[in-house]
Amino acid sequence: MSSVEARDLWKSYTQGASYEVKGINFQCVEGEFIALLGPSGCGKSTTLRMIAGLEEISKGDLLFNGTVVNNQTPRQRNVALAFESYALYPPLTVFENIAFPLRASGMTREQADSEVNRMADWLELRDILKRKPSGLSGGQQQRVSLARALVRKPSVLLLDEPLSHMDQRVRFSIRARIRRIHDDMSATTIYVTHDQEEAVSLADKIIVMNQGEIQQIGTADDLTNKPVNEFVAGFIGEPAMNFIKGTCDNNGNVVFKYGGTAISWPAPSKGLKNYVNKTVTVGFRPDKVRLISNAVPDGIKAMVEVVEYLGEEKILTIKIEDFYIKAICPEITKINENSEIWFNCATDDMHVFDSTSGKALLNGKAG
Amino acid sequence: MAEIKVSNVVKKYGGMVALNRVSFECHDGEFFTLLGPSGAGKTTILEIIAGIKKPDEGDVYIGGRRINDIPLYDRDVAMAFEYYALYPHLTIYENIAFPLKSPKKKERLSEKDIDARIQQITQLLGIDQLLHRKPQQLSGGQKQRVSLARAMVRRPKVYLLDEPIAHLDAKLKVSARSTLKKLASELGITIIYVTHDWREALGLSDRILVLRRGKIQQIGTPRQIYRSPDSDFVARLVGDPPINLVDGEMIDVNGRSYFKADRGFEFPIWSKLIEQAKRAARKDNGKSFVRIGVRPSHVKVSKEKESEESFQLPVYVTIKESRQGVVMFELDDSFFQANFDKSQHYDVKEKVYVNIDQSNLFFFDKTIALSK
Repeated sequence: MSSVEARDLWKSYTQGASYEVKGINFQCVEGEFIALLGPSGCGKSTTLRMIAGLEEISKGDLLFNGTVVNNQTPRQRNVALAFESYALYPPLTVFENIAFPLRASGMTREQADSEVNRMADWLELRDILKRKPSGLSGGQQQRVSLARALVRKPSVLLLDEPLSHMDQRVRFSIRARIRRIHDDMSATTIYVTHDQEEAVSLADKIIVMNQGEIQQIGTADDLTNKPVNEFVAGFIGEPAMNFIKGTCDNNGNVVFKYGGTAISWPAPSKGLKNYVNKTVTVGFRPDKVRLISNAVPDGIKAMVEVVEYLGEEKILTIKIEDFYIKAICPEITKINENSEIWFNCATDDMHVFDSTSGKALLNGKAG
Repeated sequence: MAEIKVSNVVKKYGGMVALNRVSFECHDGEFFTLLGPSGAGKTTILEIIAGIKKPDEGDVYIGGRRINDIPLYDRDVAMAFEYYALYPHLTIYENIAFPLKSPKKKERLSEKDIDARIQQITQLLGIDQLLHRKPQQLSGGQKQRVSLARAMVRRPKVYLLDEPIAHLDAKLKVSARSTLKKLASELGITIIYVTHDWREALGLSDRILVLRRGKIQQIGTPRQIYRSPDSDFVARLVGDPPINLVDGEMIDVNGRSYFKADRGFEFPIWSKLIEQAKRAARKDNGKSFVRIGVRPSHVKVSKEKESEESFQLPVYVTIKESRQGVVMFELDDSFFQANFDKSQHYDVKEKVYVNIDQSNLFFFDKTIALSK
């Protein structure tokens, strides 16, 4: 097991004309499960490839257990990598593919066989061990790639979108297995994904990246309850957080002017003194929207345009003048399309952002 | 009027039966969805209605008129596919206007009418600011909306939409879904929609037809499909996390009926459910085998025993999703999952009590294979 630390890590493919990764810093302690999360092009896979040793580091240091490993080969670093694109050896069977790294490192056949069989059980590969990669589905190939990475008991396990080609049902069980394998082996794991739900459900700690920079590092709860900016707030959670613009008054309220009337919501604390008479962006999550069937003083008037039934819950698309918010309510809620409604949200669930910089000013009860 | 009737349609490819006596009616103004896994025959149905393929047997009617022998360009249907084939040298405006430039003089619209229609549809889809751009300047999601606009700018009797939003990312899909639903209700149009995504099917449709290997499994409202699935196949197709399916046996102990899982647990069945369980059970060698189904949201996990129906299982792992927790238990041939309150904590291998809400328990015959 190793700890991993990035110190002011930069990557450029253009001799410094532009950077894919712009001076990132993070620490991953031994045995931790970390997700690198962000939209495509944010630099997360480039970062992973630098950790793996597949990509030269342009500037900065990468440390394993406190030692700089910038110039070490992937083998010296003892990392294992499972890709989104699987890179299996086509002439070898699934069994041989998984056994390959073990045999290459000098393990006896008996020992390698038992390790492979154990992995096959974990990842539900028993039935396909004798087959060649070309005959497998994308999801199956991904599981083989995962097994080959895990079987080596590496110091650091690196996973790049390992669930992306699996169908929904298999994803559920493989997700559970990845987490359980991590819990049992307590391997230091760095997991790259663009899927926030995957990151939230698997990782101990999430690093959110955008445009080559780290936006925030924290647990799923930190990112959900205390996002540092509008980007993180909007990226974590689905349907995404709603954002509406209002103006701060000098009594600690945010005032909205919709439908010809001014509605004020008290801000979560008195931290908006510098924003009096300025525009701020208020954010609240769809499951925190409170729907009211009649006019109330702090209710914003709106129209329910679309109701989507999703089994356990309904998703509402609600129109306020010329923009929309989403709300989630229990399936049994009686509500019709094209009905008038008022909504507000609890002060504890309100997030306030600087409308220009996107920086979070207040985060509900988290402060 | 644009009601569609498909009657006893059979389609074969060589020896393989792609559609096996498919019959249904889609009412005027209805949003009707064909849901099923890939290879179920959904697109074939659409192609037969569009006139791209001919049925081997059976009839298709639009507005009461049999259209089997009517060529596709006279059927008055519009079809949009998952893959947006936009003309790269034309602007977005010209792309959308393209289907309106009919070669037939009497059907030709004035430039003013064309403009009005394009404005309406592009505003509804939120792409009215992009009209002067070329396709390569748009994102994938925008292109898909343009392709949808192009299909919908005509006023055909029927719209046939084949996975029109399938390859949008999760966030865009959420907004595309509601846009599509609003569009359908505002234009009052008849839509037959093909998808493999249960969220799209439940969220958008008035009614859903579930298709499996060319055969109809169930037709119903979204609520009927979710709450009252006719088979394990339909139950497994909708919901996330997926429904738990467990095979076992009905046994009687001291005059009480129990469900005994093939391995792992047993619990007494509510007396009012016994008839239902017996109907679903398959008798073999004096034993009666049945498959139960229960959604993770209807399974409760606790540290203490809650009732005599509670049973114990060791925790395989717990997963904390953004809005709920999921406890996973490993059974022989599947995982068994239960939602839990994220403020609770359960250790790996900890034995906990599980309680099934039997008012939401299903009994099925086995029609699908289970695997982990």
